[in-house]
Order: sequence, then C-alpha cells, then structure tokens
Amino acid sequence: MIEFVNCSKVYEDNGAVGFKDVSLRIGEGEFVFVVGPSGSGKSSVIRVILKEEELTGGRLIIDEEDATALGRAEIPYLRRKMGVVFQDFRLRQNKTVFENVAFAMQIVGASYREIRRNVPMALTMVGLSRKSKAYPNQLSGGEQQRTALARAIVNRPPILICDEPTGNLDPETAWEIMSLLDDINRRGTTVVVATHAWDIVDGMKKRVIALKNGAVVRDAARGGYSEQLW
Amino acid sequence: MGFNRAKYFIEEAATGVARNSLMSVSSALTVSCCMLILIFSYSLAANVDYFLEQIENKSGITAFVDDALSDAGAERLRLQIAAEPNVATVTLITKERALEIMADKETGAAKDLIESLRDDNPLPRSFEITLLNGADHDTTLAALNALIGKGIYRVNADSATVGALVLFNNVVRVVSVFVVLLLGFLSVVIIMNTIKLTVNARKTDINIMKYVGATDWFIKWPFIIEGVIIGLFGALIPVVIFAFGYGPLVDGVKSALGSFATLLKFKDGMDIFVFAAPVILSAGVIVGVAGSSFSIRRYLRV
Repeated sequence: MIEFVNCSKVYEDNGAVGFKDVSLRIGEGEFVFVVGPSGSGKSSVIRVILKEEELTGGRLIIDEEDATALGRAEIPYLRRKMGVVFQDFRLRQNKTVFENVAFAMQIVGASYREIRRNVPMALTMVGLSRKSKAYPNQLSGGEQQRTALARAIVNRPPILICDEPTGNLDPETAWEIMSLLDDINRRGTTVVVATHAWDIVDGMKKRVIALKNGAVVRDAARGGYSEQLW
Repeated sequence: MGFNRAKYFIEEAATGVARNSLMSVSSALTVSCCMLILIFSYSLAANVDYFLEQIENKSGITAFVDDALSDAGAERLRLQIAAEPNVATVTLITKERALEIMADKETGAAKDLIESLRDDNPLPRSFEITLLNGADHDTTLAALNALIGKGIYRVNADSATVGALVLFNNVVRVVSVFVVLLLGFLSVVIIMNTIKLTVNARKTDINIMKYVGATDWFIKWPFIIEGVIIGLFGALIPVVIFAFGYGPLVDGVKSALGSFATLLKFKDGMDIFVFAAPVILSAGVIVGVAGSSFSIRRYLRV
C-alpha cells in the first residue's frame, strides 16, 4: 500500500537530513506506529507521504502508484486516497461540525444526497452525532479531534495518516481516539500513526517502525515504544 | 461544474465579500472611480475624434480649373478626381456660383462692385474637394498637383491646419490609451489588495483544503468569483452614471460654449454607450479575475 524504496529527504534550504536511504513497506490493512525522538525523521516521512515535501532520492509507491513521478496537478487526487488527522485538528472555525465533515465530500464532487447520507454516518461512528451543529470553538479537544477523524474517513479512503493525533489530548481522550483508529483499521483501512505517545504504542501492540537520525533502526511486527526494546 | 459545486463557490464568495464588507465596498468604489474616469476619457476622446473629423471634412482642397477647358472636359476631370482613393466629394463651383459666394461675404459698395462684374466674370471655375481621411491629405494633394497643366492651373490647401489637426487627434488617442492602461492597472492592484486580505484571513482554510485533496481550482473559484463581484459592481456604477449623466453633461458644455457650440456636433450618448458599457463591464470582470488570481497564487503552494 505504501512503499519507500531507498528514499532520502534532504532539505535544500538548510541542508538538514530528514531521512536517508529508507526502505520500508506498509501493507494493505496494516496498523503502523512510526516512532522516534524529535528530529528522527518521522515528521519528514509523514510530510513526504502527504506530498507536502518531495523526495530528494528514491521512489515512493502509494496505492500501487508511483507518487514520486506525480505532477503538481495530480497531488490532490493522491491526497484523496488518504484521510489526514493532525495534532492541531485543523478545523474550519467558521463552519459547523457537519460542514467541516461535509467539506471533504464537496471537494470530491459528492452529491447533496450522498453528503446527507454519509456525513451523519461518519459522525455517528466517531460519537459526535449530537454535536453536528456545533462550531469547533464550542467543542472539547477530544471532540475536535473526533470531527477531524470523521472528516478524514467520510470519503472512505484506503489509507489514514495521523500525525501526533493525541498530542493535544488528555490521556483518557487519547485512548478514546486510538480506540476509534483501531476500529477504523479493523474495517480494512491502512492506518499510519506518527507519535511520541509511548504508553499508547506499548499498550496497542501494533507494528512499530522506529526512526533515529533519519534511519530506520527497528521494524517490529508487534512492538513497543521504549528505548530498551529497540 | 455541478450545481452543488457552483452553489458552494458562490456561497463562499458571498461570505468572503460579506466578511470584509467595508473593504469590499471601498474597493468596488475605487474601481468605480477608475472606471468612471475611463468611460469619460473614452467619451472625450470619441468626441474630439468626431470634432476633428467634422473639421477635417470642412477644410478641404480647392483645385482651380483652366479657363481653356470645356465644360465637358471639366466634368471628365471632376470624375477623374472623384476616383482618387481618399476623395469623399468633388463639387464643381461654376464662375457664377463663385461670384455669388464672394458677393455674399461682402456688403455695401464692395458687394455692388462684385455684382457689377457679373457680365464680365473674371473668377475661375473650381472644384471643392472633401476627403475621407485627413491623415492622407498629402497623398491626395500630390495627386491633384499632378493635374496642373492638365486642366487644373492651381491647387489651394491648408496643409498646415489639417496636419496639426491630425497630429492633435493622434496625441489625444495616445493619451487615452495611456489613461486606459494606467487605470486598468490601478484597478487590478486595488482588487488584488482586497482579495489578499480575504485570502490572508483564510490561509488556514486554504491549508486544510489542500490536505483534504482540493484542487487549486476548487480553492481559487470562490476568490475569483469574489473578485468578479467587486469588479462588476465597481464597473456597474460608472456605466449607470454615464447612462444618465452624459446627456446633461453635453448640454452643460454646449451652454458653456454658447454660439460656438453650433459649429460642432457632439457624439450621440447612445453611440458611446453601446460600445463603452460592455467594454467597461468586461473590464470590471477582467480586473476582478486578474486581481484575485494574482493574489491567491502564492498561497496555493502547499
């Protein structure tokens, strides 16, 4: 589903190495944690997958498509194959919960009928059906992240990318979000989570790809976060 | 573009205009001022052109016919001159008519003296020639001079006046084009600044749109429509002002000029309106599209 083939990312402006000569494969329906200390390269990996940054070497395959060769105009269509969840939620503040989720469907040209049917389903799945008319500033952090999650899955993308999804949440809410991600994964969606939350990684016993100084130092099928396990 | 999308784009554009309502209205009014100057500059240029055309037509060329040439020969010569490419009309002024014209200009003893020459008229026959285009005056003059000795014995023309008029007309045209370009550029800059404010306020939204998979055009459309609303509204005001203001303005100028105004005819307002209104409204749309496209480009690189 996602394959890095000898991939490198060096930032042109300051020469910093994001990651170097990384090769890894994430299969369809997998749940993968990408972990590592600050500056290890995990954010660069996420940014490259989202095509926010271009590789400086190697090849990236996403859903059997060579993402390295894509032109600027094709990037939006690649992004539609991926739902994205960020640490800071990134919701449109002047839109309701319903409108924030519906927006992802408007972008792909969904009909009014499809929007009326699928948005409530996505909101029900994340437990927000009663808050559909609320604005982001009327929601708790956990509810905002659930809205972002509903927006990410409403078009049923095959891949879900989460960049520190629990970074701004209290531990209890963080576990609720992770439980939702686990549910989504069980329905067949490939989930990639970049995180610092060691307790969650240790507790969920999923595949762990650990990065350090821009290189993959560990790839464990049912791993944990902590240093001694590396 | 589907109905849902179009509805979404228009709603977003209307929200953008409403959110920055003060800035949107002030931009539209500034565009109105530019377009108002534009439409009145054009009508001034069109009138000057029209006046010069009238003056050029009146200041024609006179070719004096040899007395030895028969009437039939003079008629052949008239047809030959009329066939010249830039000649509009050729009128034969007979010896009798020339004397009448001369007598009409005088009074008292001078008039009596002229009229006493009626039986022994010394005035020559002549051709009064008007031109299609004053700019080609010299070419026609050369063609007429070539007829000297072939039925024509002298050609009179006020080349300096015609040349000066043509030059003045060209200067007015160049200045008009310059004013049009300058005001068009100003309008684009004004709309750019307004849309930039809207875009800046929605930077985060644009960023979110990009990550959710929106194409550049999906993001651009609401801003472009917003620019079109401002530009079109800005252009509509001067068109309405012109429609109702040109007639009274011409009347005002005529009364200020007094009897001098009777010498020249002004362009009909409708003649200017049918050309200028669509141009001004299109210009409003174009500056709206250009202004918003330039201002959003930078924010799409995510």
